[in-house]
Amino acid sequence: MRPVLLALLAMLAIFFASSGAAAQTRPHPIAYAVVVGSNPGGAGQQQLEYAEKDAERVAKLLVELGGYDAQRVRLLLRPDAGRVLATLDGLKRQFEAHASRGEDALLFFYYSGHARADALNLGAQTLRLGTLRQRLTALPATLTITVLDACQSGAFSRAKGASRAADFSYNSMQALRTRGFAVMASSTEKELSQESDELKSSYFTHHFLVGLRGAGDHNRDGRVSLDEVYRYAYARTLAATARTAVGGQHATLETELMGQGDVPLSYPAAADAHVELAPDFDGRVLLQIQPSGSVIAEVTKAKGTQLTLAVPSGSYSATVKRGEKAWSCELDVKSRAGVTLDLGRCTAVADGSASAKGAGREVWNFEVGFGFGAPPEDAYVKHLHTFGFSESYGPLITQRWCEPALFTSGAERRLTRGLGVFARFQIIDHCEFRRLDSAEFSYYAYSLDAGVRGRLELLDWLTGYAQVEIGPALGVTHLSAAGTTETIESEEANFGFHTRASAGLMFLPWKLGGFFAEAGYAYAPLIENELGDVHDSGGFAVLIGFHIRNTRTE
Amino acid sequence: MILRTTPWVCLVLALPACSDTQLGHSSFWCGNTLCEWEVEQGSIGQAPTWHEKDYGVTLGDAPTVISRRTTLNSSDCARFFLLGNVDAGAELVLELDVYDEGPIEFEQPIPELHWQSQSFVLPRVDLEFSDRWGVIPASLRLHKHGAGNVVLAQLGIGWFSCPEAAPIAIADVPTGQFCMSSDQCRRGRCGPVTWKNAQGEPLGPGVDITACSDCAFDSECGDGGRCITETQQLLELTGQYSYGKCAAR
Repeated sequence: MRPVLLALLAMLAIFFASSGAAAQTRPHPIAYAVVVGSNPGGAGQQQLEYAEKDAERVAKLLVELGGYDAQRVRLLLRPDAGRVLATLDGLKRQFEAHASRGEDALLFFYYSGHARADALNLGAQTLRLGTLRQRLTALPATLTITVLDACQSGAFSRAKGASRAADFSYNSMQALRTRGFAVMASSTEKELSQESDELKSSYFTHHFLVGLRGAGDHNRDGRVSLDEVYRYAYARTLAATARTAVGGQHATLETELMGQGDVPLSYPAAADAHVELAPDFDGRVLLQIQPSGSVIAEVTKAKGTQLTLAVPSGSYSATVKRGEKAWSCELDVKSRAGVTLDLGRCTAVADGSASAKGAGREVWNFEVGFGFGAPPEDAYVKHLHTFGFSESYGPLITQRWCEPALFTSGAERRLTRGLGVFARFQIIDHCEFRRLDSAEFSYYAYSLDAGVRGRLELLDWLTGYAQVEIGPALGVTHLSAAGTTETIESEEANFGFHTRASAGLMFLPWKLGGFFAEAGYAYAPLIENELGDVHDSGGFAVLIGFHIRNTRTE
Repeated sequence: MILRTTPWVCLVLALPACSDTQLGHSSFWCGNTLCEWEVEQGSIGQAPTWHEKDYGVTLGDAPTVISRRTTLNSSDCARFFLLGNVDAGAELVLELDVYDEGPIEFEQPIPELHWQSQSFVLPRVDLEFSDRWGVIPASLRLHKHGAGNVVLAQLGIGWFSCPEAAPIAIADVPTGQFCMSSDQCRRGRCGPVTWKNAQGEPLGPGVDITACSDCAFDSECGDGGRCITETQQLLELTGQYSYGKCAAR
């Protein structure tokens, strides 16, 4: 009997093992998902930027890579508590039907939004975790996976979720843990969850999704399990948030699966298209969908293993950073094909910091500068000479006031790495004249320009740029003539426009900024006399000054 | 006197223009009248030039004449400078009246100008005086004969050495004006004059100037007249001199 029993046990083991393996090699036949995203917060909570977008991405990936039927994915954006509960209640009948037929059915519940200690914040409403637990456990699902990306709102970095005093993550897992449950939360009881403007996502959900796209496929079996994606999301979220002002964020996972074993969540090997990172590739890659710029993956890879990311077919840009070097690549990923990221076909770029998450990016720059201009000696000036006026001399003997000292002050908004817009106020012209009868005449010209600036980063610390600008201009003239019996004082305003094309170099050795030098030619028909002459306050101009970078830290 | 050109140019190049006298600009107007120029005939008005508040003078309906006294001598030529807007139909003429007696010794038509400057050389006179104070008075006139518009922004006069230029012959010096010999005088004889300073005190020997006099002081004149003392103010100097002039008894 004993050998027979052992043989029977061995056969059963093989049967269960093989049946379990078979179940793990294909998507779940019956899987439902309720995906909730809500940007608004409750009282005292700042509105989130990306919670609803994250929910959309999760829902999309479940269909794309998780084997979920799109009809069985319920995406709830900015719902109230009643709608969430109604959705869960609506699934109860379907789960009961599956159970009656002996079919395994899985429920994936995802929430991204604000929360407090014992409740989710759905705008002004709250959904108590106890209530949510009751509804989830009431469903006769074989397996319920709950992913919560929420914590307390904070003053910095749009931290979201529960208060530090009351541990949302801990409480929520305690509240939801039961048989056939897995609960993954974005942070521990001591931490806040954060969003990233660079990733346009919460750190946790971003890395959770990247892990599901294949980066988390540790054993390279073509599918990403709950355990694998947790480990990946945990490590990457912690690494990314450790550099932020809010501090490191530790994802948590508690499971009570009762024999379910390894639970696959996605099947990147079966995806329509892939981006491959070869075994000898190392570095950090930021992969963005073009032309939207949405970040689909941000991974750091070491040499030695191949990394395959499942992506939809389409156009992508990849920014690769390795140490202080950076490259930019354009990828055309076709359906049913894979593309290997090859640095040989990438373009080296000077500034890798723009793609390094957490290192910050320039948003606004400020400039103040001085210079000299050389307005043309046109008919207006020649007529002044004809009428006996000569240019006055400034503090330096060789400097005439008609070689005016210029001033500029403005701000630039970076739109992309190579393009920005700016606005600046300038003193574009100034000249003082005197006549032998003591008459004095002077003019000032001012402009308020808006322009477009194109940049080319030549070195880490050196950037070339070219720009065009145009804007309204004001010219103010002043005549003072001391007559024999009276003094004539006359001030006039002339309105026109100013436009300039210029090019320059920025020397930016410091994080705060550096210097700039530019030269250009301007046209500003502005000041008019009684003879019909219009003075051009433009001409060649040279400016130097300070360029101050305002870098946003993610 | 206002120098029009910067001093260092004068020193280095010794240009005649250095001695130009500016008669225009804001000194043009003293209230509602011209400061240096007199209106002999017609009317004038203020008019904007390159700037609406930098006034020039516009000459009214023809005939309009404005004038200004000046001096001439035998070694320098005068350069007359004008900046303005002169229509072709204005028929503007610059006239020189030596001794300011009425007859015009020299005329210069002013061409059409569109806010341009133009200068004209006035001839020297052929009287050579032994003293540097020996200048003769003259009157400059701008005479508008036509209907065209004239706006003058600047008027100026300067002197420069022109020994080779043909002089205006002066053979009929009026009584009381400087002379070299009696044959130059219209009447009487060329003789020394009595000098006094600004306070009326006689100046001693060393100032040797002669002028045409009708007669010797306190002598009898023809036609029953008597020789009286006439006093003439020196041009551009604080002083005066006296000479004999016949007056009816």
